[in-house]
Amino acid sequence: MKTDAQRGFSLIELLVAAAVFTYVVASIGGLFVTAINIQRRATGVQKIEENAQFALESIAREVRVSTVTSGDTDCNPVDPVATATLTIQHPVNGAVTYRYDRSSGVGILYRNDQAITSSDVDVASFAFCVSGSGHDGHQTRVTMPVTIQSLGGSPSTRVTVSLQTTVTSRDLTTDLK
Amino acid sequence: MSRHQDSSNCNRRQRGFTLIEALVALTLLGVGLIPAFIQASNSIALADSVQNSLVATHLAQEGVEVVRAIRDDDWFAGSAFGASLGGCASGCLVQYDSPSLIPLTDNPALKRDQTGLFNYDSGTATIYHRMVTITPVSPHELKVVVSVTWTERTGAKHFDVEDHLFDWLK
Repeated sequence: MKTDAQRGFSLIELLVAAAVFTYVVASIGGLFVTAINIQRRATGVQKIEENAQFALESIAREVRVSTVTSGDTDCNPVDPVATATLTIQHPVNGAVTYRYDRSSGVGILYRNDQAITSSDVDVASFAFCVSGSGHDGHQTRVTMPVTIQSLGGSPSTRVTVSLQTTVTSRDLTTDLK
Repeated sequence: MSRHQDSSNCNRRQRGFTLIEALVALTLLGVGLIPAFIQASNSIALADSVQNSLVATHLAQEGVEVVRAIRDDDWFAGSAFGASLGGCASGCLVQYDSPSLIPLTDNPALKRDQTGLFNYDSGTATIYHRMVTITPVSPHELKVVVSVTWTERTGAKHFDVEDHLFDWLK
């Protein structure tokens, strides 16, 4: 004859225990998955920030002290423009060409054919909007609207950031009478 | 006798948890999970915040650069230093292609149009508001402050840039 100690669990007890266990594990697991996705998004934002900051800042630093030699251009970054270029004459570095190229599917910015954004991010759209270049009585402005997207991971963890900045040339010799 | 003792021990072992024990266990679980939830939600807010700050810093820089371009245009036109930069002590607006300062009626949100440009004329409103304040420090120096404000999950944020323009051209 079996004693009480040997009886084991009843089916009901087992089901209840399994249900409670499943619920707890599922909620903790869900939290874990959420945390991982957030982490991926945060990493994406960080990559975008690094690339945008570096690319725009290095272009801005050179454009400020240079003469923009490419002519005025309209902005059309949303049109499927695969390439855009900006040429400047830098007092020390000489002729410099900045180029945006998305013909390979991943948008990358180049300075004299050397990439200045990493392939971790896709520069989804970019434009050099130049105004006031040449002898027109206006200081040269270069406006750069840019959309950057992080790559890798699932689509839900990708981040897209759109930003814009304008740089004014410090060169007065072109227009000053 | 010994058999009876064994059986009573077994019964005690089978009693399961008391309510208090169960509550203590759940509280401990909760204490463990709540900070994790808070941490996760903080991370979301922080990632958004970094993103918004990145956009705001570039918009603020744009403001400073456009004001500088207007100063240079005055020089090219033979006008005096700061001729087009007056009347902005209590704030005004500029956009990327402004030939002159835009008077401030209120401080509308910047829009982003079809071509991706931030401007005031067309497009859908963004969360960013930008105001420029220009105050003379001396007849040959202007203080330019560009203030970008926006509201995010954790409340109102702002990013200010200060620049000084000088009348150095003789």
